[in-house]
Amino acid sequence: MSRSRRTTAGAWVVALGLLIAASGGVLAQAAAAAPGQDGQVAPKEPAEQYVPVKSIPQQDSLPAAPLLVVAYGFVWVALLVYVWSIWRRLMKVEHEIQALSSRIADVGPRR
Amino acid sequence: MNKAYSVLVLAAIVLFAVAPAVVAQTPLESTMGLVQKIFYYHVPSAMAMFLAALVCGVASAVYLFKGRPGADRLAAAAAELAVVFGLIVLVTGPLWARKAWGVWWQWDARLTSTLLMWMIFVACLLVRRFGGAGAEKLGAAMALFGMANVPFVYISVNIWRTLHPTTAVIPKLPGGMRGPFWFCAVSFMLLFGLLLALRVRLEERRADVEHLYLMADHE
Amino acid sequence: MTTFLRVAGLVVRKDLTVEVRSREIVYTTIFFAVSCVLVFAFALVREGRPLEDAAAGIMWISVAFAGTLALGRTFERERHSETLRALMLAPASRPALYVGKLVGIVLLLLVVEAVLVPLVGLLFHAPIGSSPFRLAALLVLGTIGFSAVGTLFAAMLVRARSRDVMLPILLYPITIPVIIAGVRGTAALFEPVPAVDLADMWMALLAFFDIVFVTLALWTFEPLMTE
Repeated sequence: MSRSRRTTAGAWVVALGLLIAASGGVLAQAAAAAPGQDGQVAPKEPAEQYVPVKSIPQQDSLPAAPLLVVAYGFVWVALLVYVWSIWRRLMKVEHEIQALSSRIADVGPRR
Repeated sequence: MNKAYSVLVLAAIVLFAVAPAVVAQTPLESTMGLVQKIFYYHVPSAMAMFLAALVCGVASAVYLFKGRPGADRLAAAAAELAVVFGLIVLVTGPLWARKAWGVWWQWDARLTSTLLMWMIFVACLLVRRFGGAGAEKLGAAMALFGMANVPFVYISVNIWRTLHPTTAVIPKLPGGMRGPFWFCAVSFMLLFGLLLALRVRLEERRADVEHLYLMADHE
Repeated sequence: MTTFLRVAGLVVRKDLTVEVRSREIVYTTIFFAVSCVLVFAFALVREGRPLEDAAAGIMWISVAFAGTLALGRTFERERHSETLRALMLAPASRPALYVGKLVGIVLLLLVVEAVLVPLVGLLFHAPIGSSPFRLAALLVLGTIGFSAVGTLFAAMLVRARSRDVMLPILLYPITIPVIIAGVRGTAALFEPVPAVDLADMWMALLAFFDIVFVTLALWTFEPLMTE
């Protein structure tokens, strides 16, 4: 992989990493600011429409914030890991191509 | 890697990074509260998964009937993306469901059919990896069946009574939720496009290696 | 059209003749299916008696497992004698060959089911006689759906590596909807008062799956089998 491409990819990974931290902060803030973190037990009917409200009555049951954070965190991590996996495989293939090209260049292709 | 590509990458990163801030502004939902905000990542991921499945299916059909190797590379890339975005859907969904429905999982029409569609594309990848020679055609056949599944998965919530929200929710999104949702949807689509391009590039380079090996072997 | 049917008929007759002479696959598949049912009957026990609600599920699972085995064995036989290549070389349309193999597999599985259904009725006290025609229709439709996909992939896998483990991997995610529909329909029929409308709905769904799967398989058989 060429130098400029490697630095671009590296910068990309670093940027994404920083942004995870930033969005984690934003989310934590939002979760703390939310007046209530609880909902009710399973609605029997499938939802036909979402209804927005200003605040939720307090009830004790599962705290929603950890679920929300884990969900968003998983999405970020999964996408990052996938990008890294593609990049790693691409590097391997590029090395192989370089090695093969130099070998052919040395010997000279004959048909 | 040209200028346009770098601009798109930057745009994707920015959109994606801004998304949580955008989501933080949205109103809370009446029955589900804070956990409903998973919706802003869960549904766009599902859209990306469907799109990946469709791309894979069409590319596979082209490969099977026209024999173009470029189509096969696109199909391989799209299958992998379908698995990745499907995994995201299948993890964020239960996290939401645990709070909203009280259970991690339900064997209803939408969840079951989505899981099965995901497994079809996992099988696609497995057969490409371990099937030996000619496995691309098998993978292509699998992808066709997987693509045939997509409309079925989509309308399953409208036909059967399930716990999962129906497709009517999206058109009827209230104002405060609509903007952020489509913002997230666009950023996911952009991300999907970029990941697909990158993954196809990997396949192309692999094809180049094969070609070089053939040239080297001719000595 | 008549050539199509004639070719398909010839393939079926060939398979039947071979099978009738050796009876190898029929006997082994029936035995495997019966063992499956017995294992479930012993494993899922409440107060010393098998779980009666499980009858529908166990029946269809056994059919699915036995079907996978039968598919593998049938095409292994073809590969061993190189007859599949001979078939491909013959001046016959590929879809007709596919339909011929499909009918053969379906007939085999129907014979297995003819043995399984009374056994399940016996072990699980399932009311198999309450709606016999609907039950038969469910079984036929479900078997066609399962076999349609199975024949396609088994034929394709004949030349592949690790074909034995690949067939279930490829087959089950696609055919599980067929199994689900079959189980739910059969369970509806096994109720104390058979839920006929529900069973009809599942039957309609099975018919829909059959049409989609057979169409897709006919469409892709030719390019898949061409080297």
